[in-house]
Amino acid sequence: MEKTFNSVDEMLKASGVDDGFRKDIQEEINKKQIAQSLFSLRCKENLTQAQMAEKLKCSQSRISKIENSYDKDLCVGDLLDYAAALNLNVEIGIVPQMKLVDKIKYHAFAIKHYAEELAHLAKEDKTMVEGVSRFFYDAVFNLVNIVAGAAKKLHEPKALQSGLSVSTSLNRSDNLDTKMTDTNVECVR
Amino acid sequence: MANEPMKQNGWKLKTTEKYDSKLKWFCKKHPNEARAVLERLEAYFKTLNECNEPQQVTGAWIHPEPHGVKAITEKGKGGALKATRLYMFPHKKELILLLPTIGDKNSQKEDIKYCSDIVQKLIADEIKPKV
Repeated sequence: MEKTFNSVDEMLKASGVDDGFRKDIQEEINKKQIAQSLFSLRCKENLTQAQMAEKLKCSQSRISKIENSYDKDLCVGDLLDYAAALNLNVEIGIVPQMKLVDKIKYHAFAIKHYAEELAHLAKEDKTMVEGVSRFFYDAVFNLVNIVAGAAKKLHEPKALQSGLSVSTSLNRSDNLDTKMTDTNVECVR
Repeated sequence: MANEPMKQNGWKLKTTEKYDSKLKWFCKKHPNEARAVLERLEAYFKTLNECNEPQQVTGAWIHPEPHGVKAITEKGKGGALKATRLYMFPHKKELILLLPTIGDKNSQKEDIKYCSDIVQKLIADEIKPKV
């Protein structure tokens, strides 16, 4: 049976590429997570670099440069420009260093807070109550799927991690991005 | 339908023997060029998994080649890098991103022919009636 791979790192490992070289590549990739995210967001909106440049009133080479930048070289203005062009908002948060389990709890409390807020908002309106009920039902289903999906990954090879997480909006076909780290840069629709 | 699981597009990578051997050689002889195209492969692959539509994944470093083959280039990664092409074919029906080979300017013509042959064979095999 021919072998397939779920990631570039997995493919490199199987191709017999030197371990040090493979780690170098992974580290390099980790330094460009925001730029990678901007590239993905543009593609998801089915925009070419030229179309994006038109929206941002800049040259295509500037778009290319932004999408190739190291995260440390990007400026907040670049994020705001991309977000505005794609009808997204930018949220930047700096949170205390936490253990992974605490981070999950932190986000679980945030879910609790927003879910209660939504319930409170809906309770005067019958139509909204129905809609929110359906949403809660879906959310439970999705959250269970997320945890079950993570549990399945317990025996998969470990990936290199950095201190930065980039999450993008949840839209049409997205997966929930459950990466949680010390700094979050999120684009929210 | 309300309770469908969230979409997992699930594209996978697949390599050829030629790719495996040339990649190893490239990583040893031209590590900077290999690093440049492999980083971009990661970006392409991640985005493909998010979009699910190969035509949507565009950039100045993705070159269209005959028969739906695409080539990732090192362009924009610094002037000192030798021209390098990592060839790929997004096989939408199977959700496979096939990596037929990697090469430089000298092998470009031969590489493109090799990729085109592989893709044509792949498509011919698909439409061949099964007995």
